Amino acid sequence: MNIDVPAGGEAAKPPLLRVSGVTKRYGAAVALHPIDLEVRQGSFTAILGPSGCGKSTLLRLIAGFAEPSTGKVEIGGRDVTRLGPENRPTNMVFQGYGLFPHMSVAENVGFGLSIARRPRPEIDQRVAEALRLVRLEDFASRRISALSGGQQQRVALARALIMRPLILLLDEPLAALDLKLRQAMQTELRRIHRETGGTFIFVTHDQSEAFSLADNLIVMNEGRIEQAGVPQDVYMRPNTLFVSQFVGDTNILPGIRRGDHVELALGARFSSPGRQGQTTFVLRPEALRLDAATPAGSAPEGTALRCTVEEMLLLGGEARVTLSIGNGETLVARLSDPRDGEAFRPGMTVTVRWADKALSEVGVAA
Amino acid sequence: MTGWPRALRRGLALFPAFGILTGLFFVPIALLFAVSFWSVKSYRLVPGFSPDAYARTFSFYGPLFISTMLIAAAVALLCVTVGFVFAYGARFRSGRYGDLFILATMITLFGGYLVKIYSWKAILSANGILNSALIWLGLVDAPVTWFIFNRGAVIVALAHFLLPFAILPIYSALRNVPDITLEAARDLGASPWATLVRVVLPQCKAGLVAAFAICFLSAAGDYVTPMFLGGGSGIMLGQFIVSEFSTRFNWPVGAAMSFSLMGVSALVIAAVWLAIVGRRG
Amino acid sequence: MRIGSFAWPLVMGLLSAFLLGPLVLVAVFSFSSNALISFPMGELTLKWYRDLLANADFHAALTNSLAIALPVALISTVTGTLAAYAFAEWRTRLGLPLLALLGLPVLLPPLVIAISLVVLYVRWLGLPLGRPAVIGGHVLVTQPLVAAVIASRMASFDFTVLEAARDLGASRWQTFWKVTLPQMRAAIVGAALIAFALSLDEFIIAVFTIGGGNTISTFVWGKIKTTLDPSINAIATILLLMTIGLTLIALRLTRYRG
Repeated sequence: MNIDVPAGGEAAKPPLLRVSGVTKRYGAAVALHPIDLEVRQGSFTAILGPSGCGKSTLLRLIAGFAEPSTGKVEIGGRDVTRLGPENRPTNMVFQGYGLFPHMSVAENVGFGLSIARRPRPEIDQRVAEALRLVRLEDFASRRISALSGGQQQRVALARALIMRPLILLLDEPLAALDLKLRQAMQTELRRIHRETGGTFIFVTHDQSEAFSLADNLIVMNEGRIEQAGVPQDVYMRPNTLFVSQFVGDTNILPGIRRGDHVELALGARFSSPGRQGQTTFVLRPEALRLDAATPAGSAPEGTALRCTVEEMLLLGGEARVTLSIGNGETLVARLSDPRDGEAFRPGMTVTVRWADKALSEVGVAA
Repeated sequence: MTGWPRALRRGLALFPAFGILTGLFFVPIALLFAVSFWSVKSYRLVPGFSPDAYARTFSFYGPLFISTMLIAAAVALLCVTVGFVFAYGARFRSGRYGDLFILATMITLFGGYLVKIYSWKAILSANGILNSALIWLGLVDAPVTWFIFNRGAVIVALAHFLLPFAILPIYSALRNVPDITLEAARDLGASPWATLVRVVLPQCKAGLVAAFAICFLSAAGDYVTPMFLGGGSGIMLGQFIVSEFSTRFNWPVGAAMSFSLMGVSALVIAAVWLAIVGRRG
Repeated sequence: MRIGSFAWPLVMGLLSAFLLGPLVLVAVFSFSSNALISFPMGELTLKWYRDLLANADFHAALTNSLAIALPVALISTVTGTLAAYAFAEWRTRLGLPLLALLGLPVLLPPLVIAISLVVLYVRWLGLPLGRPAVIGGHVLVTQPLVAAVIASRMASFDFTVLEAARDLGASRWQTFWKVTLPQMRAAIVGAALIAFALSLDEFIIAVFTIGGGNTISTFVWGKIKTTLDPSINAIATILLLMTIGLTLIALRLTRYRG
């Protein structure tokens, strides 16, 4: 311990996991470009991205199933880059679970402790605890094949958690479950994270899953981290067009910056200093407000445009309105109360408005 | 076809195959079983119900019976062990070459029963390739004679013939072992050895026992291999079943020897099954 | 790197050599002028093949073998395919035990099958031994393998295409000819080739039930038994090429593994 380091403040504590400059190549194919990543103790981190983006490779590098081509993986300040998974303080919940079909639930859960040659009473007691944590107390002697998908998922969770890993890794933990079960398991995972106080990292391609579970979000694409941060920030202020599109619906607004102002192709002009020339902004559909009465014009804090309703879709809990701006551009607005939507019929002329701070600049679109 | 009841369609589809099975297998085996209780008087078969043929099998051929079972057990154990190593290597340790090793197995499987025995004779005999190579290399001065005409030669040749029959069922059992169960074991701290013993082997027990059964039965019933390679110490019961049938014309004893062989083999296999797969579900 | 990265290829290479070595040896020495398989190898020659082709006994044996293997392939393909079709409909409970029952003759020592057939033919039916007797015995051991190959293909067969065909107006019969059979054709041809190859190679049943004359395998037997005749290498190589060639084609067609 270094006593001279100023006490207090998150910044003073070293991160539990630090991945620095890690790359992974398979022959000529690059799976991961240099990755830098920090995860602090107690967080629930989601690695989100489309299939083939390298997220599972990254998880396997953290678990020790693959060695990076370059770079370093540190856990709790210790370099574990060259250690195999059996020697790392991590445990994994596999996609498809990887339960041992020839063992009972209790034998599966107790496997790691029995490999570590813990005494029998300790194993029995910790298995019981782990099963209680995942609410499978009554299933200890069942065979794996006699369990439902959701129950198998919990066994896999208990089998990893019983090892008290510094980091629990979950590979697409909910992908195999149906919608209802998935929602129930999300609640369970949040509870288990809270009760164990552990550090969880999971990989998913499902943005709603990432948002409902994680307090720390890492978006990956084509072997790179596109953006990392608090989920709400990532959603509201995407750095790139990819992130903006991957984590939700978005309106893409190309424009040109001249001096301190930006002119958008759809006809709005607002103050925004920065790099001159072509640029692109994104705007979330729910940031748009619709108004049947008010006339157009620039408001001090935002923009208002006259437009025509092209299509209106009621989607259960919300309404989605497609708007046509005179010059061929379209915008999509989302209204959280579908009853508001009923007021807008195709062909109506309405005013759409948004606050300028709702716009995020993502640079020149490729 | 149209409108025929399902049960009738199935019955008709099964009829040819099971007709042949019944007429050329169940009936003749049953007849052979009946013959095993007959007796022979001055080269004529006398129907009856006498246990004499079995008595002769176990008294006169008792020691040979035991040594045949020992050879079969040695061959089966060798095949299962080596077959497991090969199948495991092909399944988990060969990457994309795994299929190539299985192809090599298939080629060996279909590559001629007599040809293999002949080849082993050519390899092991006094003026065979092994000896001529050893002499040519200057490792020995005179041909080594103990390569052939003994129990070891029979075991090696039978193991070579039966190895594909062990590899294939074990490989097919290993294909059903999910890769992630191996990763999970490793993730939970298991060494490669612990993973093998506690995760891989228990998941392919049935394949191992099937491989043992096939190899044991085939080895126990073989007579061509010992005839060519066995010499004095490598004789097996099959050779005498043949001679009881052909030269001595004592069908009851030949039949009794056949059924004793199959019966004892079945007991051995059942014991192995119980010991390895055990009583639980 | 770990030891394993070097040890496994070595182990697999040695075991593959053990498996294939004896077969390769025979094939290589069939082109050697040495009278015996011994080291060093003599000059290259096609003498043994020429001798063989001039040998009338070999022609007779080959004719016999083909006259047996062809009907065996045909009959066992029909019976095995029909049985597999019935198993496919019963896949749930009865299929597997029935398949196992059909496979019993493969499991038992061929010696016992051969003897029981001789007892049946000679003692009870009073039939002469000969080609038909061998064909019966061979069908017994080839039909379960045909059934297994076809059944494994049927297990991956998408049965909804049959319903789709019926839905589009095809009769049951048309569906069978235009939808089922074309999809099964490769597997059926492959299974027939395997049956053909097995019959060519089979020795024990053949030697007991052929009566007079020879098949290729009993011809080989006669040669091995008497002397170390170098032409054995040539026959063995021809037999190997036939069985291995046929089964390789069959494996390609059926994609059957294990």
